[in-house]
Amino acid sequence: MISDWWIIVNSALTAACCGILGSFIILRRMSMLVDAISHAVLPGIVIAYLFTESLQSIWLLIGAGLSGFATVWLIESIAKRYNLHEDASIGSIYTSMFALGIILISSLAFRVDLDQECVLYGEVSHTLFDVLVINGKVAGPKAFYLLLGIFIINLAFVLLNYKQLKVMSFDGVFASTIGISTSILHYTLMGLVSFTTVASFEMVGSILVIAYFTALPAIAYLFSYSLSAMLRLCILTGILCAVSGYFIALWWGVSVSGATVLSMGICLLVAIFVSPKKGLLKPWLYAKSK
Amino acid sequence: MELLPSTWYILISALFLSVSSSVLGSILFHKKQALIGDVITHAVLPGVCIAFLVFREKNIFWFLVGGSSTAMLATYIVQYLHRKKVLSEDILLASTLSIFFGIGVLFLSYIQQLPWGNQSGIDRFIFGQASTLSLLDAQVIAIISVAILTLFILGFRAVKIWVFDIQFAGTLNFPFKIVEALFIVFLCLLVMTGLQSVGIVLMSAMFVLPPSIAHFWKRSFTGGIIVAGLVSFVASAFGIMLSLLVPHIPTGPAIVVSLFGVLIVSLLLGKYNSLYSKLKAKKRHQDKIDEEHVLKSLYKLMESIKTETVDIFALHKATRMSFSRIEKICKKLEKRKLIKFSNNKIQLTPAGKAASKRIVRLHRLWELYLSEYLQLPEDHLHESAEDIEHYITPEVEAHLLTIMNFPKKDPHQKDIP
Repeated sequence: MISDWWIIVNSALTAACCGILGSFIILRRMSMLVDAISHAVLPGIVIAYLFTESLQSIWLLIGAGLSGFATVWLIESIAKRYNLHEDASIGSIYTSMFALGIILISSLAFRVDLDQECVLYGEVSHTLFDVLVINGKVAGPKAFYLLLGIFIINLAFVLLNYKQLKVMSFDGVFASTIGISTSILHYTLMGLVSFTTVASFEMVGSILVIAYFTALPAIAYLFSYSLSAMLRLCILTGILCAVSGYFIALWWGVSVSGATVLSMGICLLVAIFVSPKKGLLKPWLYAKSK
Repeated sequence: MELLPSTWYILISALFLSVSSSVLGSILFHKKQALIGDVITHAVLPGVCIAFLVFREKNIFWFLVGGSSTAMLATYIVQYLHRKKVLSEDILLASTLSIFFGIGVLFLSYIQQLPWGNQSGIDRFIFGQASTLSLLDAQVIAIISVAILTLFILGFRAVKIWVFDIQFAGTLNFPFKIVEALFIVFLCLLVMTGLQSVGIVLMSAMFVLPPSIAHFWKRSFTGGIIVAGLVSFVASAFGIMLSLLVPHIPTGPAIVVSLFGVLIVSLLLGKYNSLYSKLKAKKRHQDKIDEEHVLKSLYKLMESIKTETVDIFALHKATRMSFSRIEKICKKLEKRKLIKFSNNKIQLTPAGKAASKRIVRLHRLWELYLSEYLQLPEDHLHESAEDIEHYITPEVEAHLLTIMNFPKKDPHQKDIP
């Protein structure tokens, strides 16, 4: 069926969008910042939604982007200026922003159609109902075009700033001494993370998207020795997990996003055991071949 | 407003929950593992679903067992893999929490399409609604909280060592592994019981926010816990009342937003590390510098015109400070009995003379030091000495005097008093 194709394509595209940004995030050890952003975009989304009443408008992206920026800035400035440990600062800010979002949803949005379940879990198949129609012809779900746009932006960002991002990920101090504007890159990266989160939250929900951002690159990281290989592997694993997740979901009749994350979890578990770099079974698997 | 009996158990369970989550949260806070709480809160979901699938009923005890076991499994996985250095801690935390939650979502979607008919309400665990709390739930919360508090008080010394100096703890002949295991077990149990009133994501807020607030008010571990517990209870009570009075406001988020409000206030006005305390310290420092500046100028004026009284206009010319500022400082100095100040005329008391002499001595000593040891030209000396004279301690002064052999004249050929 045609809609099955769209589910797989959308799911794989989400994985690819998140994976290429996630690779830089896990290398910079900022995974928990993604956790924070993915929760904290909620108030931005709700406010934008109240004005536009649509889940696919550009205002949603802008609202989420702004609240993502605000979160990152708050977390970092509280950690730096007020001597609060970064963990505590992340935990305090994102839970508060999320709570604010939930209060907004339940106190204002009871008039409109946006519920907590949709935000937290997401469901790929919901995105298929809203289709883009060009000249009377159905040209596929809107979510696909949105994700495609985000994917192109993310890819362009990574390719254009590849060298700078690489230096910054492995040696941030060196990067700023040779004149790379690390803070601009950092905030652009975080902004793109917020956009991607919003674009994909309808499909995967605000918590599962963290797996797309961290578990997927972590699998690639455990099997690759260079950044470019890691990025390619990341996209490949993303597609693999999307396809296998779809079939698991079809087979058991469960949520597609949940099943995709389950297959990521299985891949990560396998990677943790058999990785040639740091795997738990490395002494047994690779020592004898020498 | 009349309080229903159920409001009383909600309030009492909120009290227990906030005190015990502050205790455990402060431990996490000081161990710099605040985000472990986050992993635990997300990882209970698959356990709850499995318990429901196995026993086919919504029974709080089976939920407790199921939820805490998956949460413990997740915590153990994170800690084990972190010890083995497979991946860095942040990746492990983020991936584990999202993967466990994903598996939970998978089970939940499976449960929702089962033909049993009693599955609605499992979601209550995710968003939390205190108004549905039953007497039984309140009793479970109370029992677990009392157990946590008793163990914490009995093992206070051990916990303190384990939290603040884990290396030292390793050298002691005490089963700290048991302390750690108990801590994780109780953390998971508490999360499970608290979830129904505040919800999944916001339960982690109960662990992180109160200790972060206490960070701005108390420096000691115990003091911090007391402040955290108190703040947490007041905010919880406020949040519960808010959600009972205003329709459409869920309890958990209302509690968290009130805690967030307290955090912002503490950030601005707290006793330590806050904006207010920083500004205060800065002002105190500026006052000290200005006072010393005035004293020094007084001494110099008296030295040059050889009088005992100086009027405020001469001081204004010498220091280039505004009259109101000079007056303020002079009043302060008068209170400390360093000067006599009346009718815009200023006289130094003996104590004031000694103090002002010291500043001038430090200034000139430093000028001499710079010109002798760093061979700076004469016109560069004054600026540096102007800054450093406020920071030289008696020890440094004694050292400067010895290395320069108790000098009498500074580089500008003025007496060193």
